[in-house]
Amino acid sequence: MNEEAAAVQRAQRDPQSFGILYDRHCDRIYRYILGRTGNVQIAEDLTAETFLAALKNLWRFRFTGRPFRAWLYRIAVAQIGEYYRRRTPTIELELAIELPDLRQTEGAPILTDEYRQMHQALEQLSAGQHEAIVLRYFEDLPIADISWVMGIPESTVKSHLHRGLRHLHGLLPSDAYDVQSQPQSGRTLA
Amino acid sequence: MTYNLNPNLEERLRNARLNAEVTPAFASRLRRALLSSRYYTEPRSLRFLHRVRRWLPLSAGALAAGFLIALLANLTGPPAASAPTILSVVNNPSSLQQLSNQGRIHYLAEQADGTRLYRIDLSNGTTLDVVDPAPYIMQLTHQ
Repeated sequence: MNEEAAAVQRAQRDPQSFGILYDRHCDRIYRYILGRTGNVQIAEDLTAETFLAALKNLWRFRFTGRPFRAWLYRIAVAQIGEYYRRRTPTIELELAIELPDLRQTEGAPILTDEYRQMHQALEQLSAGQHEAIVLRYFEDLPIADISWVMGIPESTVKSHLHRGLRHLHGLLPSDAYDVQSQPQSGRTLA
Repeated sequence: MTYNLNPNLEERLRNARLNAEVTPAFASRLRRALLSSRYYTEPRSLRFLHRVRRWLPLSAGALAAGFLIALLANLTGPPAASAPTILSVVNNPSSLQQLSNQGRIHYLAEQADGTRLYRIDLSNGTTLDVVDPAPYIMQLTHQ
């Protein structure tokens, strides 16, 4: 049993051990949720919901080789999905443009142009492609874990990544993506 | 599937990572709430009881609603089809003969006690079963 599995087992009985896990993963989960929702207040609420759900279901957690953070991401994905399902209808796009950017509220991170440009392009991808790219390139999860977090086969994750990156290439201004043209600098999905 | 990710795009993706941290005030508030959660302070058996207590009114309500619906359906629904019942015993052979002559009575079967069972078609589409307690006195002209 590795160190993380032992830590989770301790956390099932000992609050201080859960505190250690919380300290280790809180920022990462918060950042992921903030990136998906774009609102500090909602991100804080959903982070709290995610850790509360994790705590309630901690007794069910069985270590099967997947990292604990993958389990947290899976809960966070469910929380975000639930949030979007139950939230009230949004306003028209034309009106939304006139409103102040919620990401610039107090406590919100300062966003670079690179971030805005990339996220505007990502938001034009399908939900699956967006999710897969965020988990792969922003959260550094391996394909097997992304498959488990999203609840889809690994081949579908690879397809989402491939098509998503291809689409992203068309959406971003410069030529950033090149299929099979630079094998020496390539990256292989495994 | 193998594909090559241009380093430029990979770098751009990494640069586009959100550099945000949860505020210390929120982090410590959430930490305190989680660590003092009932999950650790409450025995599992008590937690099970709480869960039962939460679901019990719902289950009882669902049961009562089902009972009421069944009761209403029973009161307002169509009458259940039942087997023909013997409504009367006819002791007047002449009246039976008259009905038979008019073609309104049909012989159905002979019962175990020797009596004969007939059926009369009434005007509103219903039928009436009658028993002839004195068999063989009637001349059946219509079958």
